[in-house]
Amino acid sequence: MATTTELLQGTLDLLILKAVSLRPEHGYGILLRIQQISRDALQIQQGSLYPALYRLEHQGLIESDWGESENKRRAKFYRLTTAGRRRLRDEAAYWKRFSEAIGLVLAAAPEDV
Amino acid sequence: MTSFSRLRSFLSALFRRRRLEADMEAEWRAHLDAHADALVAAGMSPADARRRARNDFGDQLRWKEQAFEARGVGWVNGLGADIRYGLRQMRRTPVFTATVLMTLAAGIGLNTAVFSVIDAALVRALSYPDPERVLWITTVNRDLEMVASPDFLAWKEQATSFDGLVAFDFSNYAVTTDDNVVEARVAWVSDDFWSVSGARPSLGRLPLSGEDAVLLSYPFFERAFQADPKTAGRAVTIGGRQVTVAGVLPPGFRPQLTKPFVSNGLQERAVDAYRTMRVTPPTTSGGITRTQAFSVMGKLKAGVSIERARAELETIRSRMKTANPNMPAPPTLRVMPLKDKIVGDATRPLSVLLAAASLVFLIACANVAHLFLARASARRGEVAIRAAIGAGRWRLSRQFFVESALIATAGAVAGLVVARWSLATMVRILPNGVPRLQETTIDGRALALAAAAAIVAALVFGMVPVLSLLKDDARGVLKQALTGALPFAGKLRTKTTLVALEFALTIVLLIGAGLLIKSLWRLTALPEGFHPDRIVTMDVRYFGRAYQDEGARRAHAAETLRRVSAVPGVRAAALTTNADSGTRLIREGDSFPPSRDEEPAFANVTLASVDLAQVMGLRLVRGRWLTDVEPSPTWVINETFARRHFGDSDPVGARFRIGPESFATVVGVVADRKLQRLDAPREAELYSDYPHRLMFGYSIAASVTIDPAAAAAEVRRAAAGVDPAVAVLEVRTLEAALADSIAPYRFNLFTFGLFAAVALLLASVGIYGTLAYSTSRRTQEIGIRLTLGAARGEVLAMVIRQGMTVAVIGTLVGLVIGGAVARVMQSLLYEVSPSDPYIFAAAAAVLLLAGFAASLGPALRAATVQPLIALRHE
Repeated sequence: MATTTELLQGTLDLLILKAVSLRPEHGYGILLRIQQISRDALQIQQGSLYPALYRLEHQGLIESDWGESENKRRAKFYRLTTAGRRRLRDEAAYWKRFSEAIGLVLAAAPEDV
Repeated sequence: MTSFSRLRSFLSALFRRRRLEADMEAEWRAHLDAHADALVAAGMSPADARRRARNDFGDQLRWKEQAFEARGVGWVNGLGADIRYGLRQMRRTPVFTATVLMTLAAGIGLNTAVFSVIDAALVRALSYPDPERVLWITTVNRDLEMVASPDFLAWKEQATSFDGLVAFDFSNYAVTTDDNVVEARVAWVSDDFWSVSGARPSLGRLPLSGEDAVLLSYPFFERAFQADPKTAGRAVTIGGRQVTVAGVLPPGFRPQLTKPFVSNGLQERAVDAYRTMRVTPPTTSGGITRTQAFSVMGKLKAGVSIERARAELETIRSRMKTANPNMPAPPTLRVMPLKDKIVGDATRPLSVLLAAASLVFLIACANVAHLFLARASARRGEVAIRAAIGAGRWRLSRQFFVESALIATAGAVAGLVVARWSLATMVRILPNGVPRLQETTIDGRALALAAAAAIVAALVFGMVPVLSLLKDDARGVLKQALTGALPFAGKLRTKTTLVALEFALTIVLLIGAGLLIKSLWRLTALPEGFHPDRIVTMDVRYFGRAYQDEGARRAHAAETLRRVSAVPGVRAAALTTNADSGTRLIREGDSFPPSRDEEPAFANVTLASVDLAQVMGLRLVRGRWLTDVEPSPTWVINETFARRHFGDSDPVGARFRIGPESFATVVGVVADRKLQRLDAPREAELYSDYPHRLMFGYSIAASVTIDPAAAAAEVRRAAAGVDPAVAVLEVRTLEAALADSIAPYRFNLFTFGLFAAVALLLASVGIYGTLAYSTSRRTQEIGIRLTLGAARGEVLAMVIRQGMTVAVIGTLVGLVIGGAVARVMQSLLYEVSPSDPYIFAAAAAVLLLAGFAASLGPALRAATVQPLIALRHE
């Protein structure tokens, strides 16, 4: 998978928060959503999603409830809490600044220096 | 995010782990199903889809562990694994585990037991209401500590510092119940006793003032009256008199009283009944004045100081003296907290005991420490591998922490077993070794001490080697571990230092034990011709109106002597009053040579019959022994008395008297002998023929040729047959009676001996372990030496030299420490110098021998190494 980007440490949390911010999702749904919004560029081992989910839940950023999925299976749905929404906003802003900075650095031409 | 939700999440994880896990598994099953469905929808076969789904999900166990970690309870999960691993480790190394366990059990157990003894004897309050206000009060005349009734009555009437003043004394009585006669220890107590001791009968009532009544202790109530509730209110015969049982005291009622007077000849023992005592002024009849004398305790009024109370009592005494200048007044008044009196002389021995126990604990710690060091060295490979595959430092430390905690817990539990056992043993063999020993239990405080000791011991010493291991260069160690070339961890110096320390501490204990053994040996060294194990003694007490007549008492004594002498197996029977009360009298009268050392003349007075010298093996030095048919009163004196009062002149023929009784003539001198207490200093002794003296009770000593136990029963029957109303008490061998008198010495020796033995064992294990370990590490080196032509004897000598060097250094250091420490023990010794060179030499010899024996095993193993196998070993 030459085009796969190694998942940066801490990025998964951001992606999960983003995924569940759109609407309440169960674990598999979050996975699909991440693949979808990253256009399959980010690959993670499916199970590793769960420790991350539990960590976020433990931190009070998301909360969960059992419900029924679209194909009539019992599933646990996660949604963003107020604290989670704040965190997502902060993190997103940080990533935006960070990636702009990296972008600027990489775009720098010899004559700019 | 609140700390509350964090806590709730943590707690739910902690307590509902199982539910959480089920929840998690359900969630993941749904995930796998959904993924498989999607794959089937994309055209995959259901079986392939399931396999693929599981594969994509990854290692479920790993996620599970991480999931718990994510909830902040990973360590709970990991802890279980660590404990299981730790237990497996303990099972895998049974010798190591057993050694550490036994070491900890000995160290913790002995300390806990000693702590409990000290707690009961010195720390715990007396079982009185407001115990700190209860005082012991006495007048002192030389070493006689008792209060005479005139003083007591005056204090009681005039003193304002007290809420109560109690006179008390002890007797042994025959108590007649419906169907048998039992012997009982009776405490005579005056009226205030009930309020001062806070007595509340569980049955019946307290006695009225002036009533002649008894209250029974609960154990006695059960033993003698089968706990029959009708006992309260009925009358029983005590010492030939009808006395009302007013009530029964509750099971826990056990107020501490001072010991019976030595001159009473009574041993300390539990009180069976409390009898009311009326304190009366002295009475005079037939030219003889009788004065009650007893022990006194008082309860201070709240807020009154001891000093004020003492000053008040002293004032009253001096007023009395002015009013009655002819009345004898002891020179000194002594007032102290009752607890101080009861604990008294025990403080010193118990402190020494605690120090000894602490030494054992230190030795145990040193042992555990170097055992752990040795094992840590052996586990360097394992640690390196685990570190290499990603175990963090914290994770590894926790693992070792859990292991040492497991062993520590097991050691503490085993220690409590040891503590219980040693306490039970002490109480069984030496119930009167130290004050309040029988009240000693292992309580919450002792448990806490054991727990603390365990934590300190194993955690500190379990962690120390770990810390040093974690500093290891993992890569290097790993390489060596994998090639099997792991060198000795360089901890030998630490370990040999620890072992040397053990030896130093051990010899201190050995010296202490040796000095005590020699003291006991001195104490129990018996003169020739004296066989206390072949002498049956008993006390006879007259009761009732019939024996108010002197003649009746003498006739009874003569008849008893005749009957006991006639018992088959009895060689000779003699009368003695050595165990009677009031045998120590002040000299009065004239024609008595002045004392050489200007001391007032004091002597123990023993009434004797003709056979006493033979039974007791008294050796005549001058003159003759007395008979039962002397025409006039006679004295036989001992050498100390002769030396003190007659110097070099011949005392035979001298006349003097004691008290108001008639003059008597000295007919002989016998060698000094301790008859009553083995630890008694040499004292002036007077023996007098009994028919010429007043006698209120006597003892019979009978030398027997058959089994003393069988003879004792016969002798008792013969004596009791003379008149059933006369109490025959305390029938036992003289040996048993003497052994009781040195109970504290035996207690010290027992505990010290036990400690020294344990220490010796631990030190031996220490040197054995260290040598065994270092020689096993040097197998290859030894193989090379042997290949290159070293003789096996040289290898043997090399290893033994290595062990003995440590032992000798430790011993030398220990001898120096021991020399200083032994001086502290001075007061515990009897006619033994604390720097007795033979004891020091013997202790060193024992220790070095033990060191040699412990070195021999590893040395032999090293010497029998097969060179080829040794070289291939690595």
